[in-house]
Amino acid sequence: MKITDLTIKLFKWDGFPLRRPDNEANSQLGLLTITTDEGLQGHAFLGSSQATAEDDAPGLIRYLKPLVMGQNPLDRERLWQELWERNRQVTYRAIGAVDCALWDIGAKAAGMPLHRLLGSYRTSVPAYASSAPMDQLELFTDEVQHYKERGWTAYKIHPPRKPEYDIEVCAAVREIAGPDFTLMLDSMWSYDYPWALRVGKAIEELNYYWYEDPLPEDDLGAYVKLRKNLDIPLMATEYAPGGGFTAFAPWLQYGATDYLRGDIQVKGGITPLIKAARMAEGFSLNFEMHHGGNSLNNIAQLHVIMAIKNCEFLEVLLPDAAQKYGISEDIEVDADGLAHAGEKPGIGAEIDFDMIEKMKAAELS
Amino acid sequence: MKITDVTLTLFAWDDIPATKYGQLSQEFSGTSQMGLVTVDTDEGISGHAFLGSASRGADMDGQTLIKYLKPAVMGQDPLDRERLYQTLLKNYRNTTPRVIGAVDIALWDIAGKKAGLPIHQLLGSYRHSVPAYASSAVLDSPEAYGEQAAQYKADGWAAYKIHPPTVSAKGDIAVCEAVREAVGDEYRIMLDSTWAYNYYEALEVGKAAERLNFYWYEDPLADDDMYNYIKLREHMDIPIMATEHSPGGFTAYAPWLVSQATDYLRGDVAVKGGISALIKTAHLAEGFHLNYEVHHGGNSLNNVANLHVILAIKNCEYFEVLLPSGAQKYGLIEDIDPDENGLVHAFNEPGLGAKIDFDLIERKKTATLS
Repeated sequence: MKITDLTIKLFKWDGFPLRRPDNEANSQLGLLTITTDEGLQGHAFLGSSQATAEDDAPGLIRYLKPLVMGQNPLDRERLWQELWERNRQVTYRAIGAVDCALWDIGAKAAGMPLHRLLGSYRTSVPAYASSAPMDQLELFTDEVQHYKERGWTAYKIHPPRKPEYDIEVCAAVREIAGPDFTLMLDSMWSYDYPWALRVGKAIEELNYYWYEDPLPEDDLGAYVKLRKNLDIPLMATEYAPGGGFTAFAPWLQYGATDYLRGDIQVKGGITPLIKAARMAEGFSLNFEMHHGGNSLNNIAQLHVIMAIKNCEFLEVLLPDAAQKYGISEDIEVDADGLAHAGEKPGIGAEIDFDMIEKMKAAELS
Repeated sequence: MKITDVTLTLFAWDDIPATKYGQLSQEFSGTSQMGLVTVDTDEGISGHAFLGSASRGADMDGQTLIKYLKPAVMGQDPLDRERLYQTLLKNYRNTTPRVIGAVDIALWDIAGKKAGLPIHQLLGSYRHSVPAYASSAVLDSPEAYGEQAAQYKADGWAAYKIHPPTVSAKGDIAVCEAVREAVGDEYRIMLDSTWAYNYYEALEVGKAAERLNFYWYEDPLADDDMYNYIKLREHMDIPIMATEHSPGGFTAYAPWLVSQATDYLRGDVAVKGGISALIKTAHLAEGFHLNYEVHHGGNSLNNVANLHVILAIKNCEYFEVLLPSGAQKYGLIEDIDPDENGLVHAFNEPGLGAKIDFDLIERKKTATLS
């Protein structure tokens, strides 16, 4: 089998809610298509509501397309190693999209859903609702109630990032959600060490399940210190410097985190996610998958979660309107709070080709 | 897809030459019992693996396969590999990594056949061939090692590894010197001292190996002696290879990494529990920028399984061919053999892709366990 073409169709995504006041309320996603001489095609989505594919697509075509043209798409490991060597020319998002499309081809060639190609561990996983960063305490308490009533089993706060107020938000959400509901806090690298410790102690008292990214992502030494002073598990490494999965090593060696973390966009594909999950498993740690930034990535990541033991949850980042786009049947969480594996060959996402054609902004090849 | 049966066919392996790899492994010869593991499914696809080796018969492990592991997989979907692997692992106190490995390999064989892909492509290939090194048995004299090494060099093999007699440090150094003398300054040679030395002997032999430009220095100390491996590694300029038989499974590598006690991770499908364990370990090592140098598999089909993994990872330099063939190769119609450039090549039929000699197995059958 040989790769005969790689194209990106950019399509507009307008009118989603603003995550932050300074973001533009429009973006473009890219539908990446890798075509082979056997008629099999692999797909991936490039970009998110936060990071338009317009920025990444030209580099992908210029630097990555020549590496895969004419190659056997089943030589995934060799191709990933070669794609990865371009990480100073292109973003991890671009590498991740090509890798994702290669896995789609691999699983289609095998006639299996991706999770079975990898070797399934399970066919469903609990989802947690992961708030947008919001400013008002009431928005969080309303939201957690909403999801709890619908059967979801966990909720994560992206707080206002004012530490004293963040503690109030966490206390109010615990009050509303009840003592046993699973709650997490993701402080998005916003505290200094003293405040990280104060907030950590507070949410430890409030029986939060994990404490994510309180400190700057490169402050490994402070993470080591903080971890010694807290009983609540500490989650770092989503954006650990270096980006690649080999950058996890010092975090393991120094005991700086209780989990490894990443997604297709920030780590460069499905290949490094599997490697990172195995690496975490070797240290008896979980690899808690970060949301994928677009609908197709989230579906691909759900397959990976199905094939590993050491990931507890699927993250569903809110609001849907800023996260779900371009797929006609997106991931749905059932009445028990579970997301289920797809069983169609490949990544198996129902890509909305008609809508993409209607919203097409440009085609790169 | 459902698993409908698991059987173990024991078959005799006769005329095994007298062979020894060091003081810790007893000399063996004559007859052993090999086991053909067959996992059947309701779709007519069967997966296979070999259990046992020339030095340790499958009859030693076979009962535990039938008693503990068979019930864990019967009626299950063989494509639920990771779930089944985790279940098999929970039985590790009742059985051996060899048996867990054999079942895991048979499951990968089924998956490859179902997908119509060789296992290396199921995993995602990195390459389609890899250099092989010849790995000696214990020989009678330093000269015998020298002659053997020179022969494999002449045959185009990529490297030669010594399993020395491990009777004395001085004797092993003499072997290393004779081999270096025989192959010249540039040829790649390694030393595997099979856990034989105390710290001071390990340092003495290691310094000689360093002086003689050995490529790696494998298992000089007891397999669980992490304390002295750390110390030895600080005193050596050539890489130290440990962890082939370090206590525990895949999750037991972590302290070796944290403590920087080895320059490689190491294992094979028999000692670590299958293709699943190997691929995880290779990725763990890669995360630390280390190689996972895959150990020979102890039987012909295990070596095929090892080769598929090696072809799907970047961080393994060599395929190990343990000598002599008469004590390592049995039961396949076409075994792995390096070409004139010292390379071994991928099997490209679906699954493991090697042709099992079912006629021979039927002829030599001694029992069937089910």
